[in-house]
Amino acid sequence: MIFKDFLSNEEVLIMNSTYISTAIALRDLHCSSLDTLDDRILLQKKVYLAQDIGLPLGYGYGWYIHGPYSTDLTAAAYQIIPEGFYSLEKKGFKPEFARMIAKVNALELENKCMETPLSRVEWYELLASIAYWYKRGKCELNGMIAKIKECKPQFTCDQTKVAYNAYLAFKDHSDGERSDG
Amino acid sequence: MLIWRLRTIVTERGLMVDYSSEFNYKIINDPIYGCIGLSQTEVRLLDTRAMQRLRRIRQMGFSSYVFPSGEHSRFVHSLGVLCIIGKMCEHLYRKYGKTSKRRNDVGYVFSLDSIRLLRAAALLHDVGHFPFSHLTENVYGYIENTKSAQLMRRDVEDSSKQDAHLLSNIANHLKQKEKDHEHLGAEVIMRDPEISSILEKAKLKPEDVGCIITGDVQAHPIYAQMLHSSLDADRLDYLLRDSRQAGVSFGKIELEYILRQMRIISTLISGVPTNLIAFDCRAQHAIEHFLMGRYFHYTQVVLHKTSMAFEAIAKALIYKVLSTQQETMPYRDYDNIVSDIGSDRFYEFTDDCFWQLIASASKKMDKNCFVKVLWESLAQRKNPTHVLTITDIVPKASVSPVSKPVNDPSFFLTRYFLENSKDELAKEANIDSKYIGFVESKVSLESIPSHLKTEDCRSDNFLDDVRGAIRIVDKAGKTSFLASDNKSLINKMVDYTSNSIDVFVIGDVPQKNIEKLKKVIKSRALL
Repeated sequence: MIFKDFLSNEEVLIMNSTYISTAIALRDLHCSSLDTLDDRILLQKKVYLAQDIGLPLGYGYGWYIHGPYSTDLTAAAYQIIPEGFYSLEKKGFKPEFARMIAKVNALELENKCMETPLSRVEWYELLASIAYWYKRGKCELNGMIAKIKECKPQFTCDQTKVAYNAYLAFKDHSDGERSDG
Repeated sequence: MLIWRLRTIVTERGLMVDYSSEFNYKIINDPIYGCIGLSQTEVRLLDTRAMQRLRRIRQMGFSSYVFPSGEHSRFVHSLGVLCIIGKMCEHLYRKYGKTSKRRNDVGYVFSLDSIRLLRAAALLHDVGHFPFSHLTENVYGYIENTKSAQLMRRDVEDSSKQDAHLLSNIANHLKQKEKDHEHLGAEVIMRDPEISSILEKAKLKPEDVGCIITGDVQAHPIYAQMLHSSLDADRLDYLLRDSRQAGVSFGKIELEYILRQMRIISTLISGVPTNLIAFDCRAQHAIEHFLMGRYFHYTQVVLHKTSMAFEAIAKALIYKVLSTQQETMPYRDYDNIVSDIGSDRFYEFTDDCFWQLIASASKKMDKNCFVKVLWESLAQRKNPTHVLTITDIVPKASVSPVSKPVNDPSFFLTRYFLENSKDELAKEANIDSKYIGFVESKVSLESIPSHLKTEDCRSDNFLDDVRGAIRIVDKAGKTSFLASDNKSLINKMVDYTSNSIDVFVIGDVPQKNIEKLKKVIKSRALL
């Protein structure tokens, strides 16, 4: 909730401290809107991928129509985003965790599906779906292609292959960074 | 025609006789419903050690410090929820059972198998409850949140400074659903050898029962609605039972009438035809009465300022005990509790056990230390000194995409100063900051905003809230949300929450310092 501080005449945010870490993550992942379905999908998938490489936000995910989805994260996002990120200027993650966020953002550059290009949202949806099934034992490329074909038939084998390789690089690189740190 | 009708009646009655005999294998007396019938499987489930554990977890937590008769257990509440689910199922079975002629257009069949599954889920819905009801699950959430914030953030203060804000921070911590008692319950159902074998013997899959309890029932939203909605069996029983035990009359609702107006409808959610529970418009006023009763029960009983202060004290104390003795302490975190399922340690995870745990840890502490003060407040019921209460009815944050500045800022100014300048306020009043706490509570009537129409529902947002919102079927058969009916009282109130802040002080603090604190807060917050 925002109100005008009479003393400084500035807008002041009152955010429940439970949500501060999530708010920092959303700010740094550039998730500042919930207006469209694309905004909401992107938010869910980016946080999922950040958690996948070790950002301990603690959201549990289940499988829904657009892939991994957390109801708790939705509730948190609807508290945080309408309020903006006004009071987070002095708050941030330690370098190790800030790098995880940066890696999730950088995944956008790996969207290199030549035959049938994917939008940014589709790309993250596919990556998060791959991450979800990878965690559940679908570690081989062929198994993953079959699983994605079954649950996300809109994605082609080629797209899954590109995303699968991008995901492996993202995960391997992240594991290396974390152990170095 | 007549012969066919007679045959139908006989068959229907035959089925109802089967129904009646199966679910009345044993009768248990209950002060609310008179008699509660159980099947043989349900009796076996009731006799498991995991269910018997619930006899030793009080339903109302520390509300009994204010309403002394509220000493009933999660065990009797579980029986009450079974009774209400039983009534719902019986009604739906008559209406949409295999032989019913009155099945709805989509041909939904409410089968005996569904009933067995739902009744088992109702009986077991609290089997994963933490000691002292919701209080302790919040402590576990707070421990995790604090640990991860300290790990990943550069702005988090060191743990020695946390005592200064512990009472308020832990009292206002919001729980994460994924590690709550429902998810622990689903784990118990799958891992406890007694429960899982009884269910399997009755041809019920433990994971199916668990999914109903957590509300993760995408394929059968009806099941989730009966146990997870604004008008579900759980809420109905706790309103009826807790208000009766507390000695207030907010729970006097038209239960039977409401249940008999339940319907199954087919509606489109994200373009997919979905069967859902709705209520005939004849029940609208009875439902509004229920929602209002629940609202008052929350504001007057559940969120009573004194019991909230005691709950804050208990949370801080449990946190201190659990976090300072982590290595040797049983039940140290959620994963540790899950790993105890099926062992004596889990069956002893009760109010009594936790009381012993905090008592023995507190007694070892020095006389004037924070933990000792918390313990003495709780154990001796030393009333926290009430400083002030501010209540305001404000628009929900989710109503508008961008929240507007509030016209009357005193509520939020108070909240802001307490959150950000408590140390200064404490210094001015000459009170140790860690003994000052505040609890913020919010109560609203329905989960969805008034502008949401059934046709606007999306499957990607507020899954639980949209699924759980009360739907009304009008005389023409059209379905809409009760909250969106602009002729209803609820419609005028759903976009607002009743917010309260209660400020209290624990320990032996002179009255003149309390008065000073009150004065300082009031002057800062323009009260």
